[in-house]
Amino acid sequence: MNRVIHASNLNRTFRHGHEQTIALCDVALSIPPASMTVFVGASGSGKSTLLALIGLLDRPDTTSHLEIAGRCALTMSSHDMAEARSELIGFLFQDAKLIERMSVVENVALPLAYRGIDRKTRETRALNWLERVGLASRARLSPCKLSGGERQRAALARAMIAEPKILICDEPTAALDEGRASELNALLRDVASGGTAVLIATHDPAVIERADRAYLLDRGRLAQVHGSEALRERGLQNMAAVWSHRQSAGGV
Amino acid sequence: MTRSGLSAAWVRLSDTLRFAIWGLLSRPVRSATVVGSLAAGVAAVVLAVGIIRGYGEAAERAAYGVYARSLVIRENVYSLDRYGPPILSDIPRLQDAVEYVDTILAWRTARVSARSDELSGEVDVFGVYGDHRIETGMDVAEGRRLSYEEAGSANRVCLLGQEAAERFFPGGAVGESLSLGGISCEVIGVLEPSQARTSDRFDRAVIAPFTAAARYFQPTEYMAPDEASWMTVVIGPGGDLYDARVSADRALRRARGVPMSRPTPYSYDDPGAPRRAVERERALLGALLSAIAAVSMLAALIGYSGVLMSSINERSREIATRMAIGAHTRQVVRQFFVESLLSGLAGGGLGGLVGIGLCVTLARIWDWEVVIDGQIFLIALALGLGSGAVCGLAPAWRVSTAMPWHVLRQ
Repeated sequence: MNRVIHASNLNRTFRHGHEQTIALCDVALSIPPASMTVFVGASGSGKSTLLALIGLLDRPDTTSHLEIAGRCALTMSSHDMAEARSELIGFLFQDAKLIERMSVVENVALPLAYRGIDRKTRETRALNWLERVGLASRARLSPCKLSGGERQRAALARAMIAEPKILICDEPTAALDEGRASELNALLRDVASGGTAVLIATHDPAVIERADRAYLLDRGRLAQVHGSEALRERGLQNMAAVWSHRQSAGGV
Repeated sequence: MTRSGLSAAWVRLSDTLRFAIWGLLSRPVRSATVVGSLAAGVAAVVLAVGIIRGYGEAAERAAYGVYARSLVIRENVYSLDRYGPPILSDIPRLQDAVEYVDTILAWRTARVSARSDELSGEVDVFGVYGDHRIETGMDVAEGRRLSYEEAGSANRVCLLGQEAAERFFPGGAVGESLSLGGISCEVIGVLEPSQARTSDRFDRAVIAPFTAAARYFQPTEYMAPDEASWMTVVIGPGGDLYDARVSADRALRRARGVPMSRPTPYSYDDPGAPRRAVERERALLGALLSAIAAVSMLAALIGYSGVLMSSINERSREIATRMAIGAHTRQVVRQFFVESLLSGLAGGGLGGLVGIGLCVTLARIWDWEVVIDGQIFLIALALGLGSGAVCGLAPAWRVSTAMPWHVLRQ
């Protein structure tokens, strides 16, 4: 099977002195390229932790197995992880995390600077991406001059400029109104269609509606969602409704 | 290195510099605090160095005047073979033999009775061959100096030291006549008060032309007209007093036919003594000021590293974001290291300028000469760079080696 992410027995435990919190327990999943996968679950269920592990921003427990584009995450050094992040992974955070004192185009071009690409080339590519997300006219502004939706689109351009195989989005529409969220969802769908595996942690039913598959995380345990009951049981009524609608439409 | 390798290195270097400069300029208040805290310490060090140097020069001048760089030649009264005092014809010999000679003065002294309309008493008369100001460090406060021609003549003119003038002519000495050993001399000028310890004697004395002194005022022990009580060989910059002493002794031995196996015919005032004494004083003051400067620098460094650390900590989310989007640890460390080097350089430069400014101001207030050269500024820059390197590396390394996720979720 063609897969860009493969995890089995994926665990993550946080230790604070003698106390320990199991954030992820025995997670197993495989994600193919050119797909849009959502992770749903209550706050604190482990969605962000799972995405951080897949995004190589954190290390799993040593008993875990995690492969990103065929590379074993557990045996990677910090340098290898940075290298893999640079080559394979793009991030879209809930609060965009644009660097305020740089212009929008500089923010978007930043990942290429860390790959040693010269300034002119990276600016050209950044402008192309800004054009694609509809922000060409805002390229020279400071990020603080952008609206929430524009910031997320700029962050998406930054995440995609290095053409990653995986795009990780942590609640990207949480701070957006319906219209802006819908625009962003459409862009994410485009990205997935372009060959990138898009992974989204979300509470947003509109995102679920466009996803190819959904996983439910509950207290660190992962289960693929095949019916709306699983969601309803956990109080995720809105998502359950969306899921039912999709099932009836034959979308999942 | 290949062309593409060079090009990649250039991109890396220019990006690192650009990001570092951006990092400093994007937080002007924070950067000004970082630079200012370091500049304060560097300024204290530069000021201490400036004061020590200025003090050395001033103390040397105050304590020893021109003698700190002169060779004083007298008859060796302890030698059994007496060759008499140095003579005027030794001057060209010494000028030829000794390197870096600035000038040579010959002096002849006698104690004579002096009488004015007001008072009578004994005074020392110093007959001088050459420009007396070089040795006394005293110009005339009123009247005029001995001209070049007068200094080599037997004209009956004289200059009075400040105290001697007040003593013999309370109403003003210039133009008056002073009887010296029964010889009437016209007072043509009054000297300024002495500035150096070694010039005190001229305050109470009379300075006359060498030939006039030789002709009219005999010391207790007879001296021939061309014999000098002492000769002062002033060594210019670059000259070494010990070398000068050896060369002068060799030339005078040759002139008198004294082999090296015999005791030297002349005594040479230990040229190293004044300098050593000044060095001792300077070392003491240097130790004191160094201690004060070191404590100031330490305090500044603590402040500097604290502000730098909090500045880097404040940017830990930015660092984590950079790492999430593809930066390597070494790239982030390099950027922050260069940033702290730049802030250190700016702090060192600013501290150097402030320190030099303070040196100049204090030197004017205290009337000291300031020795400011490129070296003092280089010291300031090196201090700044060193501080930036030491204080910037650790926090940058600590923040950039943390797992980005741990920082981002805080």
